[in-house]
Amino acid sequence: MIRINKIGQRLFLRFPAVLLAAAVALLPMQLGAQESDPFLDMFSNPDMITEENIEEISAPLEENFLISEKVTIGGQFYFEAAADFRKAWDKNFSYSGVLQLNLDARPVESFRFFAKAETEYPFIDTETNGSSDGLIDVEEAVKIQELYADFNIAKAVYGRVGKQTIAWGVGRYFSPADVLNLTPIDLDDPDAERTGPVALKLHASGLLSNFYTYIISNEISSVADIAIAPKYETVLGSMELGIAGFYRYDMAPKLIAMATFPVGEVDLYTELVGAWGSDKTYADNAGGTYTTENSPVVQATLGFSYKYTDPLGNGVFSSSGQFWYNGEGYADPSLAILAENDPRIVAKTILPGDLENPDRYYSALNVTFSNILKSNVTVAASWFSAFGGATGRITPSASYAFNEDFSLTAKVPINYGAAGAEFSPLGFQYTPTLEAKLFGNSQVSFAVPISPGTVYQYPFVLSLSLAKERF
Amino acid sequence: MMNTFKFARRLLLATAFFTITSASAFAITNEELQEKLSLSDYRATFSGSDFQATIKMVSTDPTFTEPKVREYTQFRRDGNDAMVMVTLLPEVDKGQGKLRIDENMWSYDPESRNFTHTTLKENIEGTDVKNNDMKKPTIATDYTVVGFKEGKLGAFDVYIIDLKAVNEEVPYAFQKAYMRKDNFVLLMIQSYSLTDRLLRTTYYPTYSKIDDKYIATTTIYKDELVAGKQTTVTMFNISLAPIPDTVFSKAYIEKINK
Repeated sequence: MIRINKIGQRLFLRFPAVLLAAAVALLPMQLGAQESDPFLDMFSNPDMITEENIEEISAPLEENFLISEKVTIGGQFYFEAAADFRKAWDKNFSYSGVLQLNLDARPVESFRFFAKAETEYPFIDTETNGSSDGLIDVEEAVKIQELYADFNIAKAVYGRVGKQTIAWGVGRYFSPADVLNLTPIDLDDPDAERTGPVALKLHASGLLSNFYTYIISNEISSVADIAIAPKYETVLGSMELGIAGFYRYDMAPKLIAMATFPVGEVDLYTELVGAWGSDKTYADNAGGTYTTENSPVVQATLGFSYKYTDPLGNGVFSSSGQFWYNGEGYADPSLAILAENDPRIVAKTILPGDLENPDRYYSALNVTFSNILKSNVTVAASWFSAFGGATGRITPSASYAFNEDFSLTAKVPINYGAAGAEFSPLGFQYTPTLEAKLFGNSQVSFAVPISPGTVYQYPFVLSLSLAKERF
Repeated sequence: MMNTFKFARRLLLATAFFTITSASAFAITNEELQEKLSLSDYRATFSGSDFQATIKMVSTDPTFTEPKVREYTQFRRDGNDAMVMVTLLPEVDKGQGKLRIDENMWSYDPESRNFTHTTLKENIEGTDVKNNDMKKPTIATDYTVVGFKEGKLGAFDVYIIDLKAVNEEVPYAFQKAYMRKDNFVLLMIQSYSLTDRLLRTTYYPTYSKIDDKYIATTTIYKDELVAGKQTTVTMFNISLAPIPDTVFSKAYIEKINK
């Protein structure tokens, strides 16, 4: 007790000094944030709140994205050139330029016209010059990608009529549900645009549900060849579920279900397709053909995407993958490896479309780890595989970004499988490649394709692509 | 000496008495601050009307050669927890739209013509703004008050409120909210990782008051891990006029696209 009194007495005697010391000690706690953060000057103005007149801001708005006084013209251009020193000296250089133009007119809210066309050179008039010798026939030099008009009926049903790309499946790398678009998904560029058919689309759209009907009349001359494809999609919790069908008189009818949903941090998607028969003509092992009719053909796919951003900024990991069971594929995909002069190809009893996706089991996997340890280094790998044919392509890569406009990438695509197989047209091959991204999407690359057993004097390919950007 | 001792003792007792009485008279509890956060959410939520504004985002980053400017029109129907964002700038992306209903968000890819689901945790491209930041505020339902202290921020007396996430859907495990004591307007939020590392600071230096609503018209998102990386969001052309139902649909997003 005496001891406490003595300590207390000393403190009381030194009270002003203690108070000052405490103030000095506590002051940084109060002002620390302000001193270390110049942003806090923003809070020196006591009049930070502006009172708005509710009458004025409740007036109807004039802004309308569905009407434009101008016709908008856009597009993209890219130029590619390649010098393949493995080829004969007089045929080792090629180039092409592609100009894509689109035109968008929205004179009134209920009507819109859109056109997208593409022209590519070099081209040649084969009628006057004979063989095209690898050049594009002038008649094919201009392609219509899309040409359609939008309209609506009582602002409840939205219509689109004309040649159009159709949003149908949910698969990223493979989409068996997408039976409407004319070109498949590009594995190396899954977001690339695809060519769609001539169709009438009717779309009734609610807050959480959508109903679509497509009436497809692509390159037909008989009413009997018109196809119909309805689709209904709705949201159940965090799952979007779609049910669809496809019917055309002379084609296999299809029932389709698809869904996208998250499981934890992973986004998943799935497609299930049941068809009565197949529209493909198959090659048999006796040099003939056969078809599959009056039996069920099932396809199913499941895919995922995942992204993790380290909260401390040490990197971003992203991954996506997909597995596809293709019931339309061959049990033995090697039967689909046909020579160009195969009688079935020459006689067109088997068309190129019949030979697409010949395998029954496909997979895709992409893994990317970027901004590693806060650096500008990215390492990535992709793997596409067809298991039945034991063919695939693995591409490990590493890149370093010097700035927004310049980066270097080293990669080695490795193709494996039998010669002529889906992912290995030349058999086993690996191609060490160095790419420099210059600006926009322009790049220069230097590749050394290596096929065991094949020796070239100059085994190099130098290629350049310029300014593939939309405007 | 004795007089000095008595004086000091009286002074100490008086100070203690003043501190205790003033503290009990003006004390605020965690529960009351939770209610103030709910008030903050309510004030920034337009359940009784639609909400539309132009949003400009200016992002700087040490790797950028110049600041990047993006501009959007935002349509909100908070009653249905629905939102549409339409890009105005850059010109090349003009007309691209995003649709969010509850936790479901779709972005439309003009190349493939496909809609894709996007998570609300992702950043809006090229900015420090998360999709989550663009929805109606739900700080009171996403976080619980675990403590607070009083302090000063610029010219304002504030409560410095420690918050802990109550679900895993939010991008930050802990936050520290600086709330004005006089009108309970949020001035600043510091967002922390699970390991208590400061990741982002959000500043709200200007507000508009519309009837009983307060909407932040300037918001600055500062990345605390990369010096010089930040996005300033300004909101203007605010309107509470009714928005057609058809805007909150995939059909609209598809139709406005180039």
